[in-house]
Amino acid sequence: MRKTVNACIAVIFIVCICTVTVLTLSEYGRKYAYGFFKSYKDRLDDDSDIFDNVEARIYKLNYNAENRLWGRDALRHLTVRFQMALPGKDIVSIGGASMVHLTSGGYYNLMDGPLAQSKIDDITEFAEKAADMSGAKTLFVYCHCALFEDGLLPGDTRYLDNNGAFADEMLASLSANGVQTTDSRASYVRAGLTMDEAANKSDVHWTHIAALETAYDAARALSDMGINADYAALERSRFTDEVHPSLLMGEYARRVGNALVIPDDVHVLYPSYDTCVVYEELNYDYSYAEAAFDEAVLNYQNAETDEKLAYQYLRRDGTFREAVINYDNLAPDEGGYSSTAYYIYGHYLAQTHTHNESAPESTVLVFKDSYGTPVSAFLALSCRDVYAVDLRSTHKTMLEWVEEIRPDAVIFAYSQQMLRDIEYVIDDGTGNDL
Amino acid sequence: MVFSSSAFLFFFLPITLLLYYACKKNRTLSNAVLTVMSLMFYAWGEPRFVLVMLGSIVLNWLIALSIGKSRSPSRKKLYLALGITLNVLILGVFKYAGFVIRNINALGAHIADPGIALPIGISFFTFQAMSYIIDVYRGKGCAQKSLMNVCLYISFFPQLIAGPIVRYETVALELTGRRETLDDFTEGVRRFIIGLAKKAVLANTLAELVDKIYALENASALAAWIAACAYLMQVYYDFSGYSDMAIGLGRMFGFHFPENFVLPFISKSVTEFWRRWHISMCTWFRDYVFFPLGGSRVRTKARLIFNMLVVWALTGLWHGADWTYVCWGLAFFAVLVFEKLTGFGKWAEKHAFGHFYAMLAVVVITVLIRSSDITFAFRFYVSMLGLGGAGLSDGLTLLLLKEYAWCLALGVVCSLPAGEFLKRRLKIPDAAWQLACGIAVVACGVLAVSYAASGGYNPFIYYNF
Repeated sequence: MRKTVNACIAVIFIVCICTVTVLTLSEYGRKYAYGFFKSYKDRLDDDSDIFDNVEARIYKLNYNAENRLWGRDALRHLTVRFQMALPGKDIVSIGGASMVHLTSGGYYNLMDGPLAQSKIDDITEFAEKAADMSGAKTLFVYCHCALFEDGLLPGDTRYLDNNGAFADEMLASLSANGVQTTDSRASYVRAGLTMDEAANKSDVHWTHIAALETAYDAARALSDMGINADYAALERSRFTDEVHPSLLMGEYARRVGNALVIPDDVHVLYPSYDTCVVYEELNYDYSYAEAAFDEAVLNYQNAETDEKLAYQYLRRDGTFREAVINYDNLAPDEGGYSSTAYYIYGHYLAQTHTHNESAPESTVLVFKDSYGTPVSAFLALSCRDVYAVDLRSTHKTMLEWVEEIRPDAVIFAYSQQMLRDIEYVIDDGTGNDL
Repeated sequence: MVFSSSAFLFFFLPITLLLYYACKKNRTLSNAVLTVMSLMFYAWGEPRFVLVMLGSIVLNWLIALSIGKSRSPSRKKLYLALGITLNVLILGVFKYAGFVIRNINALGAHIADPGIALPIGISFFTFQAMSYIIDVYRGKGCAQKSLMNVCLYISFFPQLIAGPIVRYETVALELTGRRETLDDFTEGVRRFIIGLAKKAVLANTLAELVDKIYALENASALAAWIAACAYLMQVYYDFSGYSDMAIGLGRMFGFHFPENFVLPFISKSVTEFWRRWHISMCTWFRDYVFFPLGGSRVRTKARLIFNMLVVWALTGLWHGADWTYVCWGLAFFAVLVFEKLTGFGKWAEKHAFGHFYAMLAVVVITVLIRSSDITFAFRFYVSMLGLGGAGLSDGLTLLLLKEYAWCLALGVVCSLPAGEFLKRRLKIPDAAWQLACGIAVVACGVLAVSYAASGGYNPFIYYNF
């Protein structure tokens, strides 16, 4: 009997594994092949050897195997269901993250990792050097996407939530080092935002409303620092709020499945007043060949299909709404939801430049993550020229960017993940971008 | 590459099986497939250290050939001594040089740390290599003329990075003369799934709990005890899970590896615990170090104690080049000497109290290898005594206990012969029992694959080995 049972187990196991393998390769084979065979010459240090090259290819294969696997989301959902079915559990661990289901219906990441003092030091040192180099002033705009209301965490999970305390420690550390900061939690209070208005239930990211209020305070801080910035242009009362109800199914939905998540309304915010903006999207680090394979390039820009495949540079002009907002990302999928609606103000990997003739003359360079992306987009209404870069998608250092742009001010528009001691890159993208 | 990763499960394993069974009829070719895939497996984590391993393989191949060809016993002995010295030198340079220099510098010297990185699994493959030349010397296996076969023996991927340490005499014949059968293959798959579930579901979840508590600056007494117990279970499920997967994979390719863990948590003495825990390492030290030193059959107790001291100091060092590991080995040495000299071990094995005593001793000593240094271990012991300032318990402890209670309970149940007990107690017919076990294995497999494919927390705890 044992032999028969074993034979059945072996057949089930081998068939399942091989099915996943075959379907994965048929769906992502080209990406796997490209990741393995493409040139890594430009992405490795000058003194790298053949083993570093091999290691880079293995890294990419491993990355693909972990992230581009047929049926991975379904398998993830299964582990979530299993954990949720266990008695007494409020915390679900998935994909290396711990999260809880808030009493308000949303999900929430309990983040790990201590403050990376080296990253604080990097920013401090950069601020000093940027000031010496071009007189640029540095502002750290903290994008708080975690709880700021009490009573939302289930059970005693508050004991594991250090997100608020971490933000306090991070901002205090930056301030102690002489870096100017703004804290979006203060923006929420000023604007009277509730948790529902500031945070998405289905996505790790904050809402565009929260980003706008934060951008307002950032522009105001710039103005206080002596930079020409029209913060009044970012008053929410001067914006049209185009609501797309129950459209966003973001990262949490991908983790736990749509059935367990409440979709979010998407607020497309654009000025009610006249604007004329030139918007450019640049991808310095992608070649035409890479662009044809790399999803990161294809997702975020608004161009015809053929152009997408050979895309390096994109330019749009018109009103803020026409030039900056990418309505393609609102397109619902088969289930009627959009998983990309958060990115209507740009994909986080895009390097963008906006020129707004009607804004006061000033040039601002924004180093941003996905949370800071809409902030940088809104700042286009306050400052003449805004350049926004995600350091994970560039091989230039921060100072090289300053040397090239010669900004009046540099803004770090970051969430707290960027300053935790985890794999997020501050100085350049060579590590994560392989 | 780790077994519980998507890269292994969905790519490396099916491709290796496919290639191997495509070449099965030609033993040289099938061995070549396994050798190349094993080198790729190792290169996945450390491409540049493949050269170190290959160097070690060539060296041991040449020495074994020399031993095999020599007719003079003294010359054989000379080659053996040379081989052991070179292997110890490799281990010393890559694993212990930094440790030694740090300690010399602590005494006031100023020697630059060479900063040599530790090749993963160096302790495992060096011990296998030493086993090869020693067994050839002892006539327990023939020297392989084929370099590839030696390469396969030392680098065979199932046991390469986390054991079990397979002695040459165990698989000497199977290297060239094994038979792959359907029964072996299916039994191997079953064993692999069980190991994967142990690692992906239990060990990784327990690791989350342990890491959370060890990261606290000041843990409550209850939290410290939970972490200490959970860490022992984590190591057990991680290590025995890897061993199960290695044994299962071996069987899929026609190899039969020895058992490495046999219900260690039912032990009633620490002596018994070490008869059931990491058996391949214990027997390696017993046969290649303890017995050559004279073993237990020595004239004086002092000599016996010395022999045990050597073995346990080496066991500690084998696990990692740090004082925490040395102290861990010496702590076990102290307990084992106590049990042996007083007869307490044999007494405890006859009493239920022995369970409590053995587990308490093992849990307390194991804190040492989870600690970053001796100071941390001391602080942790203080917390376990409730003197750490965080009291006996707190809200966080209760939260963690509630969140991970299922895993702790499952961990305890699965570490005991609960299945056999149930079967006997309920008088379940064998056919029904096998069917139920089969269904349970499939369910475990689905869950384990889901966990592995989800890309969750998947720590590799053997990086020091």
